[in-house]
Amino acid sequence: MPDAPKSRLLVVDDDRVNRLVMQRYLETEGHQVSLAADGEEALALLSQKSFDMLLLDIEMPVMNGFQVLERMTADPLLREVPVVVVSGVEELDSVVRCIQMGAEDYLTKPVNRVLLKARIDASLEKKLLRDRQSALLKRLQREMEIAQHTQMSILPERLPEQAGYTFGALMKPARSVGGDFYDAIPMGEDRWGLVVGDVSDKGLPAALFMTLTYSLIRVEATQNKDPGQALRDVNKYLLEMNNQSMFVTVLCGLLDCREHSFHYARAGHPLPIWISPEGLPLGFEKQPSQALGLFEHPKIDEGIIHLPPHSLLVMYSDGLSEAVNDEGSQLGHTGLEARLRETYQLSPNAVCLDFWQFVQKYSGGSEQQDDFTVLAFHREG
Amino acid sequence: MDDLTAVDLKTFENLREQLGADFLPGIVDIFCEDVLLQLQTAESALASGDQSGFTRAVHSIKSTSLSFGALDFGAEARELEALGRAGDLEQAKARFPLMLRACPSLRQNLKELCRA
Repeated sequence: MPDAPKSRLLVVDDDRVNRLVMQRYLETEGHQVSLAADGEEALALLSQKSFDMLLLDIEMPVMNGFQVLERMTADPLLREVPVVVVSGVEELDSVVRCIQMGAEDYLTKPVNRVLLKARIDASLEKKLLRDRQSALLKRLQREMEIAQHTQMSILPERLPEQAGYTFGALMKPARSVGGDFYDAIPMGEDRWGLVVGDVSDKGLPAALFMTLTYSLIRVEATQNKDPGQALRDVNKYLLEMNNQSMFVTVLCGLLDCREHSFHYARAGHPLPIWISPEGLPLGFEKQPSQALGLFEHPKIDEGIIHLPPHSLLVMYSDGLSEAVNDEGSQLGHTGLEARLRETYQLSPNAVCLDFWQFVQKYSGGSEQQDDFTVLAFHREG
Repeated sequence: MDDLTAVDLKTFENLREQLGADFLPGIVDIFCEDVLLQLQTAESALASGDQSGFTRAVHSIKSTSLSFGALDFGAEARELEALGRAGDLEQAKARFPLMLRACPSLRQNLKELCRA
Protein backbone atom coordinates (compact mmCIF):
# COMPACT_ATOMS: atom_id res chain seq x y z
CA MET A 1 0.00 0.00 0.00
CA PRO A 2 1.48 3.38 -0.96
CA ASP A 3 2.26 5.90 1.78
CA ALA A 4 -0.12 8.81 2.37
CA PRO A 5 0.52 11.76 0.01
CA LYS A 6 3.49 13.73 1.23
CA SER A 7 3.22 17.01 -0.57
CA ARG A 8 1.31 18.80 -3.30
CA LEU A 9 3.57 19.37 -6.28
CA LEU A 10 2.91 21.17 -9.54
CA VAL A 11 4.83 20.07 -12.63
CA VAL A 12 4.96 22.73 -15.34
CA ASP A 13 6.31 21.53 -18.68
CA ASP A 14 5.06 22.00 -22.22
CA ASP A 15 6.16 18.49 -23.17
CA ARG A 16 3.57 15.82 -22.42
CA VAL A 17 6.13 13.03 -22.08
CA ASN A 18 8.20 15.03 -19.59
CA ARG A 19 5.10 15.84 -17.55
CA LEU A 20 3.96 12.22 -17.43
CA VAL A 21 7.41 10.87 -16.57
CA MET A 22 7.77 13.38 -13.74
CA GLN A 23 4.28 12.60 -12.54
CA ARG A 24 5.11 8.91 -12.44
CA TYR A 25 8.30 9.50 -10.46
CA LEU A 26 6.67 11.83 -7.99
CA GLU A 27 3.50 9.83 -7.43
CA THR A 28 5.60 6.75 -6.80
CA GLU A 29 7.23 8.75 -3.98
CA GLY A 30 3.78 9.43 -2.54
CA HIS A 31 3.34 13.04 -3.63
CA GLN A 32 0.14 14.54 -4.99
CA VAL A 33 0.91 15.83 -8.47
CA SER A 34 -0.85 18.38 -10.67
CA LEU A 35 0.22 19.16 -14.22
CA ALA A 36 0.36 22.36 -16.25
CA ALA A 37 1.45 22.66 -19.89
CA ASP A 38 2.59 26.29 -19.70
CA GLY A 39 3.05 29.20 -17.36
CA GLU A 40 -0.48 30.52 -17.72
CA GLU A 41 -1.98 27.16 -16.77
CA ALA A 42 0.42 27.00 -13.82
CA LEU A 43 -0.58 30.42 -12.50
CA ALA A 44 -4.26 29.52 -12.92
CA LEU A 45 -3.74 26.38 -10.83
CA LEU A 46 -1.70 28.31 -8.26
CA SER A 47 -4.58 30.73 -7.84
CA GLN A 48 -7.00 27.87 -7.20
CA LYS A 49 -5.14 25.76 -4.69
CA SER A 50 -1.97 25.74 -2.67
CA PHE A 51 1.15 23.81 -3.61
CA ASP A 52 4.23 22.89 -1.65
CA MET A 53 6.53 23.14 -4.64
CA LEU A 54 6.76 23.85 -8.36
CA LEU A 55 8.90 21.94 -10.84
CA LEU A 56 9.25 24.46 -13.61
CA ASP A 57 10.45 24.11 -17.18
CA ILE A 58 12.00 27.25 -18.67
CA GLU A 59 11.29 26.98 -22.41
CA MET A 60 7.55 26.98 -22.84
CA PRO A 61 5.05 28.58 -25.21
CA VAL A 62 2.43 31.10 -24.03
CA MET A 63 4.30 31.95 -20.82
CA ASN A 64 7.83 30.78 -20.09
CA GLY A 65 9.52 29.90 -16.80
CA PHE A 66 11.05 33.35 -16.30
CA GLN A 67 7.66 34.99 -16.58
CA VAL A 68 6.18 32.52 -14.09
CA LEU A 69 8.97 33.26 -11.61
CA GLU A 70 8.51 36.98 -12.08
CA ARG A 71 4.79 36.74 -11.35
CA MET A 72 5.34 34.48 -8.36
CA THR A 73 7.97 36.79 -6.84
CA ALA A 74 5.60 39.73 -7.15
CA ASP A 75 2.80 37.86 -5.40
CA PRO A 76 3.11 37.71 -1.58
CA LEU A 77 1.05 34.52 -1.49
CA LEU A 78 3.18 32.71 -4.09
CA ARG A 79 6.58 34.12 -3.14
CA GLU A 80 7.15 31.45 -0.51
CA VAL A 81 6.39 28.46 -2.76
CA PRO A 82 9.74 26.86 -3.63
CA VAL A 83 10.52 26.45 -7.31
CA VAL A 84 12.88 23.86 -8.74
CA VAL A 85 13.82 24.67 -12.31
CA VAL A 86 14.05 21.72 -14.69
CA SER A 87 16.07 22.48 -17.79
CA GLY A 88 18.51 21.21 -20.39
CA VAL A 89 22.24 21.21 -19.59
CA GLU A 90 22.90 23.82 -22.24
CA GLU A 91 20.56 26.23 -20.52
CA LEU A 92 22.80 26.93 -17.53
CA ASP A 93 22.73 30.68 -18.15
CA SER A 94 18.97 30.51 -17.91
CA VAL A 95 19.23 28.46 -14.72
CA VAL A 96 21.46 31.12 -13.14
CA ARG A 97 18.92 33.76 -14.10
CA CYS A 98 16.14 31.67 -12.54
CA ILE A 99 18.10 31.26 -9.29
CA GLN A 100 18.65 35.03 -9.24
CA MET A 101 14.92 35.45 -9.71
CA GLY A 102 14.17 33.32 -6.66
CA ALA A 103 14.23 29.68 -7.81
CA GLU A 104 15.44 27.39 -5.04
CA ASP A 105 17.26 24.72 -7.03
CA TYR A 106 17.56 23.20 -10.48
CA LEU A 107 17.64 19.84 -12.22
CA THR A 108 18.82 18.99 -15.70
CA LYS A 109 16.91 16.98 -18.28
CA PRO A 110 16.69 14.06 -18.68
CA VAL A 111 15.74 13.98 -15.04
CA ASN A 112 17.46 11.41 -12.87
CA ARG A 113 14.93 9.96 -10.47
CA VAL A 114 17.33 9.62 -7.52
CA LEU A 115 18.53 13.19 -7.92
CA LEU A 116 14.96 14.39 -8.32
CA LYS A 117 13.97 12.76 -5.04
CA ALA A 118 16.98 14.20 -3.20
CA ARG A 119 16.39 17.73 -4.47
CA ILE A 120 12.68 17.64 -3.75
CA ASP A 121 13.16 16.23 -0.27
CA ALA A 122 15.76 18.91 0.51
CA SER A 123 13.57 21.72 -0.80
CA LEU A 124 10.50 20.45 1.01
CA GLU A 125 12.48 20.16 4.23
CA LYS A 126 13.56 23.79 3.87
CA LYS A 127 10.00 24.82 3.13
CA LEU A 128 8.76 22.95 6.18
CA LEU A 129 11.27 24.81 8.36
CA ARG A 130 10.28 28.12 6.78
CA ASP A 131 6.59 27.35 7.30
CA ARG A 132 7.19 26.49 10.95
CA GLN A 133 9.24 29.65 11.41
CA SER A 134 6.54 31.71 9.78
CA ALA A 135 3.81 30.09 11.94
CA LEU A 136 5.89 30.71 15.05
CA LEU A 137 6.44 34.33 14.05
CA LYS A 138 2.72 34.83 13.46
CA ARG A 139 1.94 33.28 16.84
CA LEU A 140 4.50 35.53 18.53
CA GLN A 141 3.09 38.58 16.76
CA ARG A 142 -0.40 37.62 17.88
CA GLU A 143 0.78 37.12 21.45
CA MET A 144 2.56 40.48 21.37
CA GLU A 145 -0.65 42.11 20.15
CA ILE A 146 -2.53 40.54 23.06
CA ALA A 147 0.22 41.63 25.46
CA GLN A 148 0.06 45.16 24.08
CA HIS A 149 -3.70 45.21 24.42
CA THR A 150 -3.47 43.86 27.98
CA GLN A 151 -0.82 46.39 28.93
CA MET A 152 -2.76 49.32 27.51
CA SER A 153 -5.95 48.09 29.15
CA ILE A 154 -4.46 48.27 32.66
CA LEU A 155 -3.67 51.95 32.19
CA PRO A 156 -6.40 54.27 33.45
CA GLU A 157 -9.35 54.17 31.11
CA ARG A 158 -10.27 57.71 32.01
CA LEU A 159 -8.33 60.52 33.59
CA PRO A 160 -9.64 62.14 36.78
CA GLU A 161 -12.68 64.36 36.43
CA GLN A 162 -12.01 66.83 39.17
CA ALA A 163 -13.52 70.25 39.64
CA GLY A 164 -10.84 72.92 39.29
CA TYR A 165 -8.35 70.65 37.56
CA THR A 166 -7.87 69.24 34.08
CA PHE A 167 -5.67 66.26 33.23
CA GLY A 168 -3.97 64.85 30.16
CA ALA A 169 -1.82 61.81 29.44
CA LEU A 170 -0.15 60.06 26.53
CA MET A 171 1.91 56.88 26.31
CA LYS A 172 3.69 55.57 23.18
CA PRO A 173 5.71 52.38 23.65
CA ALA A 174 8.84 52.09 21.50
CA ARG A 175 8.00 48.44 20.80
CA SER A 176 4.72 46.51 20.81
CA VAL A 177 4.88 46.50 24.58
CA GLY A 178 6.91 48.78 26.79
CA GLY A 179 8.24 49.39 30.25
CA ASP A 180 6.66 52.79 30.89
CA PHE A 181 3.41 53.29 32.74
CA TYR A 182 1.29 55.95 34.32
CA ASP A 183 -1.63 55.84 36.68
CA ALA A 184 -4.21 58.07 38.31
CA ILE A 185 -5.51 56.42 41.47
CA PRO A 186 -8.53 57.77 43.34
CA MET A 187 -7.44 58.33 46.96
CA GLY A 188 -10.64 59.58 48.50
CA GLU A 189 -12.52 62.79 47.99
CA ASP A 190 -10.56 65.33 45.91
CA ARG A 191 -7.33 63.37 46.25
CA TRP A 192 -5.51 61.55 43.50
CA GLY A 193 -2.41 59.43 43.38
CA LEU A 194 -0.54 60.25 40.18
CA VAL A 195 2.24 57.97 38.97
CA VAL A 196 4.71 57.79 36.08
CA GLY A 197 7.17 54.90 35.96
CA ASP A 198 9.86 53.62 33.65
CA VAL A 199 11.33 50.10 33.78
CA SER A 200 15.02 49.74 32.94
CA ASP A 201 14.50 47.76 29.71
CA LYS A 202 12.04 47.64 26.83
CA GLY A 203 9.96 44.90 25.23
CA LEU A 204 8.28 41.93 26.89
CA PRO A 205 10.51 41.52 29.99
CA ALA A 206 10.11 45.21 30.77
CA ALA A 207 6.37 44.99 30.21
CA LEU A 208 6.07 42.13 32.71
CA PHE A 209 8.13 44.03 35.30
CA MET A 210 6.10 47.13 34.62
CA THR A 211 2.87 45.21 35.29
CA LEU A 212 4.28 43.95 38.58
CA THR A 213 5.38 47.43 39.66
CA TYR A 214 2.12 48.99 38.54
CA SER A 215 0.11 46.49 40.63
CA LEU A 216 2.32 46.92 43.71
CA ILE A 217 2.03 50.71 43.57
CA ARG A 218 -1.75 50.42 43.25
CA VAL A 219 -1.91 48.19 46.33
CA GLU A 220 0.43 50.36 48.42
CA ALA A 221 -1.16 53.64 47.35
CA THR A 222 -4.63 52.57 48.40
CA GLN A 223 -3.39 51.93 51.96
CA ASN A 224 -3.19 55.68 52.51
CA LYS A 225 0.57 55.70 52.97
CA ASP A 226 2.46 58.80 52.09
CA PRO A 227 4.09 58.56 48.62
CA GLY A 228 7.62 58.02 49.96
CA GLN A 229 6.58 55.17 52.23
CA ALA A 230 4.54 53.60 49.43
CA LEU A 231 7.62 53.56 47.18
CA ARG A 232 9.83 52.09 49.93
CA ASP A 233 7.32 49.29 50.48
CA VAL A 234 7.06 48.65 46.73
CA ASN A 235 10.84 48.44 46.66
CA LYS A 236 10.83 45.67 49.30
CA TYR A 237 8.49 43.53 47.22
CA LEU A 238 10.42 44.20 44.03
CA LEU A 239 13.65 43.05 45.68
CA GLU A 240 11.95 39.82 46.76
CA MET A 241 10.41 39.13 43.36
CA ASN A 242 13.10 40.38 41.03
CA ASN A 243 15.89 37.99 40.10
CA GLN A 244 16.61 39.56 36.72
CA SER A 245 18.28 42.71 38.10
CA MET A 246 15.62 44.86 36.56
CA PHE A 247 14.82 48.20 38.11
CA VAL A 248 12.26 50.89 37.75
CA THR A 249 12.26 54.64 38.19
CA VAL A 250 9.08 56.13 39.56
CA LEU A 251 7.66 59.54 40.23
CA CYS A 252 4.47 59.44 42.21
CA GLY A 253 2.57 62.10 44.02
CA LEU A 254 -0.53 62.75 46.00
CA LEU A 255 -2.54 65.60 44.51
CA ASP A 256 -4.83 67.20 47.06
CA CYS A 257 -7.28 69.29 45.12
CA ARG A 258 -8.68 70.99 48.25
CA GLU A 259 -5.31 72.04 49.64
CA HIS A 260 -3.93 72.47 46.10
CA SER A 261 -0.81 70.64 47.14
CA PHE A 262 1.23 67.97 45.47
CA HIS A 263 3.22 65.68 47.77
CA TYR A 264 5.64 63.87 45.51
CA ALA A 265 8.16 61.06 45.93
CA ARG A 266 10.81 60.38 43.33
CA ALA A 267 12.83 57.19 42.90
CA GLY A 268 15.49 57.75 40.25
CA HIS A 269 12.96 59.39 37.95
CA PRO A 270 13.19 62.82 36.28
CA LEU A 271 11.65 65.65 38.28
CA PRO A 272 8.36 66.96 36.93
CA ILE A 273 8.18 70.28 35.14
CA TRP A 274 6.20 72.87 36.98
CA ILE A 275 5.11 75.94 35.07
CA SER A 276 3.85 79.09 36.74
CA PRO A 277 0.71 80.95 35.57
CA GLU A 278 3.07 83.29 33.68
CA GLY A 279 4.65 80.41 31.81
CA LEU A 280 7.89 80.32 33.79
CA PRO A 281 9.45 77.10 35.09
CA LEU A 282 9.33 76.82 38.86
CA GLY A 283 12.22 75.05 40.52
CA PHE A 284 12.25 72.01 42.76
CA GLU A 285 14.65 71.39 45.55
CA LYS A 286 16.32 68.39 44.03
CA GLN A 287 17.58 65.66 46.35
CA PRO A 288 19.39 62.49 45.37
CA SER A 289 17.17 59.52 44.59
CA GLN A 290 17.59 55.95 43.41
CA ALA A 291 15.56 53.55 41.29
CA LEU A 292 13.48 50.79 42.89
CA GLY A 293 14.48 47.13 42.68
CA LEU A 294 18.21 47.58 43.29
CA PHE A 295 18.88 48.66 46.88
CA GLU A 296 17.45 47.63 50.21
CA HIS A 297 17.11 51.26 51.31
CA PRO A 298 16.93 53.41 48.19
CA LYS A 299 17.14 57.16 48.47
CA ILE A 300 13.75 58.69 47.80
CA ASP A 301 13.46 62.38 46.99
CA GLU A 302 10.31 63.77 48.59
CA GLY A 303 8.72 67.17 48.73
CA ILE A 304 5.49 69.10 48.83
CA ILE A 305 4.64 71.92 46.49
CA HIS A 306 1.67 74.27 46.58
CA LEU A 307 0.04 74.86 43.27
CA PRO A 308 -1.00 78.41 42.47
CA PRO A 309 -4.03 78.91 40.22
CA HIS A 310 -3.32 78.45 36.49
CA SER A 311 -0.16 76.46 37.11
CA LEU A 312 0.75 73.39 35.16
CA LEU A 313 2.63 70.27 36.26
CA VAL A 314 4.01 67.75 33.81
CA MET A 315 5.35 64.31 34.80
CA TYR A 316 7.28 62.49 32.08
CA SER A 317 9.56 59.54 31.36
CA ASP A 318 13.11 59.84 30.03
CA GLY A 319 11.88 58.85 26.56
CA LEU A 320 11.19 62.59 26.23
CA SER A 321 14.24 64.17 27.85
CA GLU A 322 16.69 61.67 26.33
CA ALA A 323 15.44 62.09 22.76
CA VAL A 324 18.51 62.72 20.59
CA ASN A 325 18.74 64.96 17.54
CA ASP A 326 20.88 64.51 14.40
CA GLU A 327 23.84 66.13 16.15
CA GLY A 328 23.68 63.70 19.06
CA SER A 329 22.35 66.26 21.57
CA GLN A 330 19.71 65.24 24.08
CA LEU A 331 16.58 67.32 24.38
CA GLY A 332 16.91 67.32 28.16
CA HIS A 333 14.75 68.68 30.94
CA THR A 334 15.55 72.26 29.93
CA GLY A 335 14.52 71.56 26.32
CA LEU A 336 11.16 70.35 27.56
CA GLU A 337 10.82 73.35 29.86
CA ALA A 338 11.56 75.68 26.96
CA ARG A 339 8.88 73.99 24.87
CA LEU A 340 6.35 74.30 27.67
CA ARG A 341 6.97 78.03 27.88
CA GLU A 342 5.41 78.17 24.42
CA THR A 343 2.57 75.73 25.02
CA TYR A 344 1.64 76.10 28.70
CA GLN A 345 -1.69 77.70 27.88
CA LEU A 346 -2.89 74.66 25.96
CA SER A 347 -5.01 72.01 27.66
CA PRO A 348 -3.01 69.23 29.39
CA ASN A 349 -4.03 66.75 26.68
CA ALA A 350 -2.88 69.17 23.99
CA VAL A 351 0.40 69.70 25.89
CA CYS A 352 0.98 65.91 25.92
CA LEU A 353 0.26 65.59 22.20
CA ASP A 354 2.46 68.58 21.42
CA PHE A 355 5.32 66.96 23.37
CA TRP A 356 4.95 63.77 21.30
CA GLN A 357 5.11 65.71 18.03
CA PHE A 358 7.93 67.89 19.34
CA VAL A 359 10.03 64.89 20.40
CA GLN A 360 9.47 63.15 17.05
CA LYS A 361 10.49 66.30 15.20
CA TYR A 362 13.52 66.77 17.45
CA SER A 363 14.61 63.17 16.71
CA GLY A 364 14.43 63.91 12.98
CA GLY A 365 11.74 61.31 12.38
CA SER A 366 14.13 58.48 13.26
CA GLU A 367 12.81 55.29 14.81
CA GLN A 368 11.55 55.76 18.37
CA GLN A 369 14.25 54.49 20.73
CA ASP A 370 12.49 54.65 24.09
CA ASP A 371 9.00 54.55 25.50
CA PHE A 372 7.28 57.90 25.69
CA THR A 373 5.01 58.71 28.64
CA VAL A 374 3.67 62.01 29.85
CA LEU A 375 1.03 62.87 32.45
CA ALA A 376 0.04 66.49 32.98
CA PHE A 377 -2.45 68.44 35.03
CA HIS A 378 -3.48 72.04 35.20
CA ARG A 379 -4.98 73.89 38.11
CA GLU A 380 -7.68 76.19 36.89
CA GLY A 381 -8.32 79.63 38.31
CA MET B 1 26.08 11.20 -37.98
CA ASP B 2 23.97 9.34 -40.50
CA ASP B 3 22.14 6.80 -38.38
CA LEU B 4 20.05 8.35 -35.68
CA THR B 5 17.94 5.31 -34.89
CA ALA B 6 20.09 3.66 -32.21
CA VAL B 7 18.79 3.36 -28.65
CA ASP B 8 21.22 3.23 -25.76
CA LEU B 9 20.24 0.07 -23.92
CA LYS B 10 21.65 1.13 -20.58
CA THR B 11 19.60 4.32 -20.59
CA PHE B 12 16.50 2.51 -21.75
CA GLU B 13 16.76 -0.25 -19.12
CA ASN B 14 17.44 2.32 -16.47
CA LEU B 15 14.27 4.10 -17.52
CA ARG B 16 12.31 0.86 -17.41
CA GLU B 17 13.53 0.28 -13.89
CA GLN B 18 12.73 3.80 -12.75
CA LEU B 19 9.30 4.06 -14.37
CA GLY B 20 8.25 0.44 -13.96
CA ALA B 21 7.78 -2.13 -16.69
CA ASP B 22 4.01 -1.66 -16.61
CA PHE B 23 4.25 2.08 -17.24
CA LEU B 24 6.92 2.04 -19.93
CA PRO B 25 4.96 0.84 -23.03
CA GLY B 26 2.30 3.53 -22.57
CA ILE B 27 4.78 6.35 -22.25
CA VAL B 28 6.82 5.08 -25.21
CA ASP B 29 3.64 5.12 -27.31
CA ILE B 30 3.00 8.69 -26.28
CA PHE B 31 6.58 9.64 -27.07
CA CYS B 32 6.29 8.06 -30.50
CA GLU B 33 3.09 10.02 -31.20
CA ASP B 34 4.49 13.28 -29.89
CA VAL B 35 7.87 13.08 -31.61
CA LEU B 36 6.07 12.67 -34.91
CA LEU B 37 3.91 15.71 -34.19
CA GLN B 38 6.92 17.75 -33.10
CA LEU B 39 8.79 16.82 -36.27
CA GLN B 40 5.80 17.93 -38.34
CA THR B 41 5.67 21.19 -36.36
CA ALA B 42 9.40 21.72 -36.88
CA GLU B 43 9.09 21.00 -40.60
CA SER B 44 6.25 23.47 -41.02
CA ALA B 45 8.15 26.08 -39.01
CA LEU B 46 11.22 25.61 -41.19
CA ALA B 47 9.12 25.98 -44.31
CA SER B 48 7.58 29.20 -43.11
CA GLY B 49 10.80 30.61 -41.63
CA ASP B 50 9.39 30.50 -38.11
CA GLN B 51 12.64 30.48 -36.15
CA SER B 52 11.19 30.31 -32.63
CA GLY B 53 8.60 27.67 -33.60
CA PHE B 54 11.33 25.49 -35.09
CA THR B 55 13.66 25.96 -32.13
CA ARG B 56 10.95 25.12 -29.60
CA ALA B 57 9.93 21.96 -31.47
CA VAL B 58 13.46 20.53 -31.73
CA HIS B 59 14.15 21.59 -28.13
CA SER B 60 11.25 19.42 -27.03
CA ILE B 61 12.38 16.48 -29.20
CA LYS B 62 15.85 16.75 -27.71
CA SER B 63 14.94 16.41 -24.07
CA THR B 64 12.49 13.53 -24.45
CA SER B 65 14.67 11.61 -26.91
CA LEU B 66 17.57 11.66 -24.49
CA SER B 67 15.29 10.34 -21.73
CA PHE B 68 14.45 7.24 -23.81
CA GLY B 69 18.05 6.52 -24.77
CA ALA B 70 17.73 7.89 -28.34
CA LEU B 71 21.05 9.63 -27.75
CA ASP B 72 22.04 10.25 -31.36
CA PHE B 73 18.56 11.42 -32.29
CA GLY B 74 18.59 13.72 -29.27
CA ALA B 75 22.09 14.98 -30.06
CA GLU B 76 21.01 15.88 -33.60
CA ALA B 77 17.98 17.69 -32.18
CA ARG B 78 20.32 19.61 -29.87
CA GLU B 79 22.43 20.73 -32.82
CA LEU B 80 19.37 21.75 -34.76
CA GLU B 81 18.15 23.67 -31.73
CA ALA B 82 21.49 25.52 -31.64
CA LEU B 83 21.15 26.33 -35.34
CA GLY B 84 17.61 27.51 -34.70
CA ARG B 85 18.72 29.78 -31.86
CA ALA B 86 21.51 31.15 -34.09
CA GLY B 87 18.95 31.83 -36.82
CA ASP B 88 20.72 29.54 -39.28
CA LEU B 89 17.59 28.00 -40.72
CA GLU B 90 19.28 27.22 -44.03
CA GLN B 91 21.69 24.77 -42.43
CA ALA B 92 18.87 23.44 -40.28
CA LYS B 93 16.86 22.79 -43.43
CA ALA B 94 19.76 20.84 -44.89
CA ARG B 95 20.11 18.62 -41.84
CA PHE B 96 16.49 18.20 -40.81
CA PRO B 97 15.51 15.46 -43.34
CA LEU B 98 17.91 13.10 -41.59
CA MET B 99 15.73 13.25 -38.49
CA LEU B 100 12.57 12.79 -40.50
CA ARG B 101 14.01 9.69 -42.12
CA ALA B 102 15.23 8.24 -38.82
CA CYS B 103 11.98 8.69 -36.95
CA PRO B 104 10.05 5.60 -38.14
CA SER B 105 12.93 3.24 -37.38
CA LEU B 106 13.57 4.86 -34.03
CA ARG B 107 9.93 4.44 -33.05
CA GLN B 108 10.07 0.82 -34.18
CA ASN B 109 13.20 0.18 -32.15
CA LEU B 110 11.70 1.69 -29.01
CA LYS B 111 8.50 -0.33 -29.30
CA GLU B 112 10.45 -3.52 -29.81
CA LEU B 113 12.58 -2.80 -26.77
CA CYS B 114 9.40 -2.29 -24.75
CA ARG B 115 8.23 -5.74 -25.66
CA ALA B 116 11.61 -7.31 -24.95
